[in-house]
Amino acid sequence: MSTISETTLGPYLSTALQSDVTVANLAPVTAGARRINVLFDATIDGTPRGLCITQLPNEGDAFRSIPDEVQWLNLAHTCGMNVAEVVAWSDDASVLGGPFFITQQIQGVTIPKHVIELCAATPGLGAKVAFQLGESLAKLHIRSIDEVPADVERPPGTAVDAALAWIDEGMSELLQRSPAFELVVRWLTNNQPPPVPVTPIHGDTRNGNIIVNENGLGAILDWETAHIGEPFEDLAWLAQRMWRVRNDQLEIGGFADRSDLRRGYEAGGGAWSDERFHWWKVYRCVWWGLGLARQGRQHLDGTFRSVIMAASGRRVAELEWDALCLIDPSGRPI
Amino acid sequence: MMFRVDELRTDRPTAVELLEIMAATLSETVVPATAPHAQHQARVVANLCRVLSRELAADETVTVPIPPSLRDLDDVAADAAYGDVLELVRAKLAVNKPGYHTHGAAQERDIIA
Repeated sequence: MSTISETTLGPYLSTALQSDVTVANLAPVTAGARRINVLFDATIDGTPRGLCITQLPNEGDAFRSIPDEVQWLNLAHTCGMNVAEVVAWSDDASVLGGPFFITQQIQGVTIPKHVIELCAATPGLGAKVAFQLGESLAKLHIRSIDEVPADVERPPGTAVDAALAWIDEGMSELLQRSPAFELVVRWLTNNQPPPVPVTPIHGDTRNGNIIVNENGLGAILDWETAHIGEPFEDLAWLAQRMWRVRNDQLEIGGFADRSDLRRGYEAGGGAWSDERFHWWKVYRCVWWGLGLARQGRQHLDGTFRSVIMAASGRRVAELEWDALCLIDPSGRPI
Repeated sequence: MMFRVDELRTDRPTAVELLEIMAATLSETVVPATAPHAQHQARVVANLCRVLSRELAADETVTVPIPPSLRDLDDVAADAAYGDVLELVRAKLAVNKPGYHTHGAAQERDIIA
């Protein structure tokens, strides 16, 4: 079976782009457990161009198929969001050993700590990135769900209904009680925001899934969990404490204030609501806490034995703390 | 001289002392000499050694009254339980992630204001 190399990528791109393409300087970069990302230099009919290939070596592990993810990326690009443009793709595993897509290469940093350091060292950059994130997400959120891939699940009720159903399932699977999450789920149930129409959302926009350079937001990455939901699920995810890497005084990713995100969101045509933002911020806190508990359980039941998964079980208390703080009954609402 | 038997059950270093040197060895010697794909795992193991060390060293037993199901409480009872539940989580964080609790509701309010 073919694999990613200069000698396989060049001929593939020559055919796909109907051009004369040579490839050099393959550089694997930090990748998730289920995806391989490799940067490389292409020369297309004599013109140099930096590209990036994303591959799923084990299709069964993927949240989403390559054709679906490409459709989301194309939708995002059409909307005018900051995303990497897709150059070519294939779901034929015989070509390079697994389904893949190739995008333009965007310079910048992705590791959360490096994003925060770059923003801290560059006056105005953090505010600009948050503004661009808000603007970019608004451009997606104002689109119709008719534009997303046809086989993406359309939840029957509201996004809040679906969210609470997910929470119920997660709570029922806990290996031990979480009094903290019980209190927080009680709050979520009693403080549901009024229903709004569902929209396309990215699902995992956060410090860690963005490319940032000295000019601002390079791209929003990782469209694996894009789905139909509520806009503030996207926006509030950016405000979780874990993405701040101990730079807790800046709510958005440890590099900007909420007001910067809001200005960008409204400039992009989105309607802001602090009430909805807060509900989804609390929800996503519990959501991730239950996700960590699930990882710990998957280690214990043998589904996925790993020290990383085991350690996740000991991180649940962080999310319990954050969620409790957000529903503090004393003083004014957060 | 008389010894209590449980004092002689193990030799020094104690479990806590061993975990501390295991964590230090992993962080200072093993991680720098480990291939990149395994470094993260080695760091996590070092951190877990520190977690266990704190857990063994903690001599304070936290006892808080928690009602059977908090989801069904009325507002008054839920507000009354809040402090106890926060205390329970604070005790877990003292073992799992010391210092995490220093950013609480008041601090989060301040950054949003």
